[in-house]
Amino acid sequence: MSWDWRYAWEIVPALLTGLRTTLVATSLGFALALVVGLGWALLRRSGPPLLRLPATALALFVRGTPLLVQLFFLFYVLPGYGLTLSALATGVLGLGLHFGAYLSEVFRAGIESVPRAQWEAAGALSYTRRRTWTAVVLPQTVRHVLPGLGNYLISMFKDSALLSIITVTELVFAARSAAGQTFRYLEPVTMTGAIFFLVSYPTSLGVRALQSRLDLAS
Amino acid sequence: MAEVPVAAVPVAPGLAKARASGIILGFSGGAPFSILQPDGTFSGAGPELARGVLTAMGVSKFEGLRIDFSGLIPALLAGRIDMIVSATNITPARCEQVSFADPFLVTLNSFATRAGSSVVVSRFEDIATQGLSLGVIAGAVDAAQAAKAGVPQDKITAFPDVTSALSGLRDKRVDAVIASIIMLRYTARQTDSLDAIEFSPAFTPVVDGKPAVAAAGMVFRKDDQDFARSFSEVQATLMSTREALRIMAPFDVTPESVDEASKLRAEQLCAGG
Amino acid sequence: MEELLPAVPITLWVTGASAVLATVLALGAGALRLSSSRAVRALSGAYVEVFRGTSALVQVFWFFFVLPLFGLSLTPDQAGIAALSLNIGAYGAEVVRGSILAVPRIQWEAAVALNMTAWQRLRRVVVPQALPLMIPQAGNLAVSLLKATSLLSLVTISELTSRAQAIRERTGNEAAVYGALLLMYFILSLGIGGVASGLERRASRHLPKLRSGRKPTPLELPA
Repeated sequence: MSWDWRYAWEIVPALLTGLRTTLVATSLGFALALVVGLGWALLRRSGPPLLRLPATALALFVRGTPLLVQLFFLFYVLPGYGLTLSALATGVLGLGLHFGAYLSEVFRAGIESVPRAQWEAAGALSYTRRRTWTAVVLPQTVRHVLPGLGNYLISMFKDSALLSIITVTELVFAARSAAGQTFRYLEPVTMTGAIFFLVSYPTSLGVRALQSRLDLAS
Repeated sequence: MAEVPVAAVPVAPGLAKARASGIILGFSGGAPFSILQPDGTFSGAGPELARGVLTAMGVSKFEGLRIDFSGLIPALLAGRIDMIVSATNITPARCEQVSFADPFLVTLNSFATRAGSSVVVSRFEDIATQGLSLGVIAGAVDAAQAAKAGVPQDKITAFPDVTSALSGLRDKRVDAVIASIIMLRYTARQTDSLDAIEFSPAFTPVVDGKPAVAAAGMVFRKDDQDFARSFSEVQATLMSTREALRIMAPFDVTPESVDEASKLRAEQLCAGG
Repeated sequence: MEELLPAVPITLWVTGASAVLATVLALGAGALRLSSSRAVRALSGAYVEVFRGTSALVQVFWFFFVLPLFGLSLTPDQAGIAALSLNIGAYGAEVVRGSILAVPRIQWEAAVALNMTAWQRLRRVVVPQALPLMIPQAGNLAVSLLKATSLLSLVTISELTSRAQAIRERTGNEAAVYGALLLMYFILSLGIGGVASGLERRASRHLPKLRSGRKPTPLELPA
């Protein structure tokens, strides 16, 4: 079996169109995950005591079950409860919830890494709770969580491939459609892998550079 | 009595290997043409017929792999499976990549719609003119046929299998689903949704002015052409003695669909005839 | 839910086999990444970056559909295990590398000063201190591996998710089937987490506890 350059070239536009959807899904999913993750972390730390344990257990559940099955559940079961989202919206929701659970851990670790002395100093200065958070805790948390967030962004980008299974027309879907016309999997699959690599590797180098800079600054 | 010397017919290598070490059959699990039982055994119109023919050809060991429809031909080409035994329509495009045995059944398509919805369609053109969204099975010819009839790409959703497509219909993700009427009815019955679905009259789509007959055959690799030919011969025998119908009848296959198939040959379908 | 049970052994077998292979790959690649030879570092680095930088789903498809075209014919099970092992092994290699690097330099130097051979250095000084760091992360990777086996349902391997799909095709009851499937994976992942915790306790048994009752991380050990 030899590589067909002409065919490889022909499918590039289709793959790039799929990549665009992948990037949209990843960006929206990550934005949702940030909100969900931060909210979850705060809920687990300082929410009403009755909610803390269930929130932690739920995060454990979401982290301990496959994203693929979660997507199936959201796509095929939610409509039965009256909530029919488009395939892309379902995918974004799935990514946001799944990675939100992971990000809640990152945020929690970040918040806990702020030394107790800082909290006490804020108390001594009579900062309101709100000011304590916004002026003291969160800025220091951000430094700690950035590398973790960066890595999960990359993970989400790669896992967005699963959205193809719930009919979202992203990169992997585009590759399989192209392959479906000609029955050749070699070029589409290999090029899809290459595209993923070309996006995620430089990004991971960037995250590592960021981490070094932050470590030096601390 | 003197023996009449018969020219030895060379056994196709694929067949020889199958007799020696068994054969791996690929199927999509699109009931009732092929069914994967929860306990791992497989059945269905296609697999049972294939088993019948192959047993008559001297093959005794069978293994089955279930792959999404769109992955079957790539899996065959990659050598993961030796034959595709769920019903695969013979089209000129596929013939360029694989070898088909002669068709063993002819299917008709139908549009499934939600019962009680105001959607009435009987052809692809209706979908296009009414601006509806259509569900197809990924890898099936329906997507291309719909596109040719004017249905825009963003109105076509490709589901991995019939069950998912019917779920999509139920959930209002699409307004209609196109697939073989036998598969639609069977799946609807299995999932207890017959009451919720209406089926358009079964039809053969017209593409480029010619009826695109959905004649399904077993699929082999190109270098197993001789194997495919021998298979066709034995299959033809089973079809003429009605044995093939007897094997496939429990899976909703009608005498007409087998009779229609026996009139057709793979070569003519590959040539677009 | 009970109908899913027969597929559990297959999922566990695939997870286990992949875990063993991934561990070998992780230890090997992780160690090679610290080699003094630039070429060796680059090569093992390439393996790690490529498998961490591409999607697991794409890797599974590649091993199942594309690899045979190059003449390498693995059974579906083997292809799936190979893809997952290489994927998780790459992440594991980074864990190994990071954990070994986290052992304070002082410890290495002390071992050298005591005239230990490289092997003794590793076995008696570095690894016991790196291990407690590695195990929780390895536990997380094992759970990731378990979850990744669900991808194998897309390439004919009849593990838990495929079995659930087969049941769903028969009954159409998606809520029950997918709900039970999620629960099953959850139970299995808790199990793996429990095993990892147990191993972590054993690995840090020899380390004296801090006043807070917590075992020290290598950074807190007396320099």
